[in-house]
Amino acid sequence: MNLHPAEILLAEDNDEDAELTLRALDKHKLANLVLRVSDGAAAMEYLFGDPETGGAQPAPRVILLDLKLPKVDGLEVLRRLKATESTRRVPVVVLTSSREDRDLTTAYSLGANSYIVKPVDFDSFVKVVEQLGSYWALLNERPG
Amino acid sequence: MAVEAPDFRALFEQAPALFLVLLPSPRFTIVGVSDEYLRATMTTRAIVGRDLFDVFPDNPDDPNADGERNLRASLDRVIRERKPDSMPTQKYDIRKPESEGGGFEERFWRPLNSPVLGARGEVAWIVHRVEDVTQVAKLEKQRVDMLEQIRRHAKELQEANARLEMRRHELEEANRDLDGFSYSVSHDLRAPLRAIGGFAKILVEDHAERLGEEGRRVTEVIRRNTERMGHLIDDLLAFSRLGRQPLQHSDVDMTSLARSVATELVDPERAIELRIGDLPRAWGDGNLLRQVWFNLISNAIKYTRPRERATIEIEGKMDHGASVYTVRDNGVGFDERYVDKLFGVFQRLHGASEFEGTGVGLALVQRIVRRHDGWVRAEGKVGEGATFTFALHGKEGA
Repeated sequence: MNLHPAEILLAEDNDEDAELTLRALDKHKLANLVLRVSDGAAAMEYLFGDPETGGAQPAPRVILLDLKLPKVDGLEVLRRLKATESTRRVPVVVLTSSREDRDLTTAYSLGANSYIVKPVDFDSFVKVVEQLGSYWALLNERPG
Repeated sequence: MAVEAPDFRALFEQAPALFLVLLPSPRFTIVGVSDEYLRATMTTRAIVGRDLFDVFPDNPDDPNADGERNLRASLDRVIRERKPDSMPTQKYDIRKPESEGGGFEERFWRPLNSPVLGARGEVAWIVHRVEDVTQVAKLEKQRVDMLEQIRRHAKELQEANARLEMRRHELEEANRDLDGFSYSVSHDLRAPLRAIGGFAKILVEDHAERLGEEGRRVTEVIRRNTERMGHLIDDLLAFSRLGRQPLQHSDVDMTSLARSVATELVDPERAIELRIGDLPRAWGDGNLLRQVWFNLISNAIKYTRPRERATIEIEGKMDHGASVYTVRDNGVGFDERYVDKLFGVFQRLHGASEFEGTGVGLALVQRIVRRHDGWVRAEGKVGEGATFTFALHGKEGA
């Protein structure tokens, strides 16, 4: 997989949800900081590389993680993220379909930093990222 | 000094015991009897000289009567073996005199038949002595019957319990299935809803010009309805979960609970007069009771919107151990003919264009109150407001 390093990693299997999220970020020129993967295995490969060929990418500044991912489950990705020294400090924002989502509790116990109820709109994104302290750094890094 | 010999006959007849003296022939003629025996058997000295079984036949109405047979056998044994023979407790009903109504009376005896030997060692007479154990036997029979009943009931109870336990397991499993089902259904329903709403928004944001005014209005309708459906899903999920959550009972301060909910809901822009009296405390689940207040008060606020000045009164009192609360408003009221529909899920008596809402609120209230073994009632008149009353049992009544 040949992916360029990204500031924001979006792991979302639903194409429409992904499109809406990217649109929300694009409004404020953050879309080109985003790399989207469609399943857990791709997320793992991007973050941790292939055990044989290596090739892990530098850790993103924030990860938007949908919990229901095919191949490797979102919670599994989260677990690995928080258990690995090089990635455990990366803020993980869980994307959920409702506040009452049961998996949210599990996600929090595994170390998730925050959550956004889908559809992701720019305001909620900003609010969350601000809380995580990464917003200004993110803005400053915007190309052009 | 010589002592005068007692009158043996008098001694015999007046002795404090029940006995008959019989001749050892197959007819067993009665030749002597004690007064006590006569009293106990409701007979007179006229029986002397008559045959035993003529005077004391078996009760013809008792198909199981075996008194005559058993007594004969015992008397025969005494003659044969020339030894006393005691019989186990024997049911031998006694004839009631005509003056007492006739028929037979149930009796139980413990007989002992004893030989009296003559000069040549032969059995000259047989003394038939009895104890009247009717009372004891009756009580014993009652005891045995009751024991049998208890045993039978215990068995039925055990079987009923086993069935209940099985039912409980089935219900638990069904609930778990339902939980999983409602959860995934709501989750799966939300995804396309997000897409519909989100993309309708894109239409309005990026293609406003091409849509024109009518196009924008139509798109807004689409978007608004996806929002409404989202609320429906939320409410339905909450309602369905409600039935299965275990209740956490505690002593609830209903006055502060109602006040706190009211403060949350009251719109400062409107002229709303909301009075909350001194409410009795409730024994129930605080979280769920909060939802009851939330739904009742928000309804009162909603349906008084057309009024220039909304008045909402909340009162409570204790009534025979139950705590009863009322929420009265001067809103648009409702037609009492349809009061039964008021509490149905998704049932509404007003159109969505008049008053927003999913129609789950009151169904939720009813469900919560019923889970507390209480009740809820509504009274209203079109144009004159509504009164909602709900009652909860006290701690002891629960």
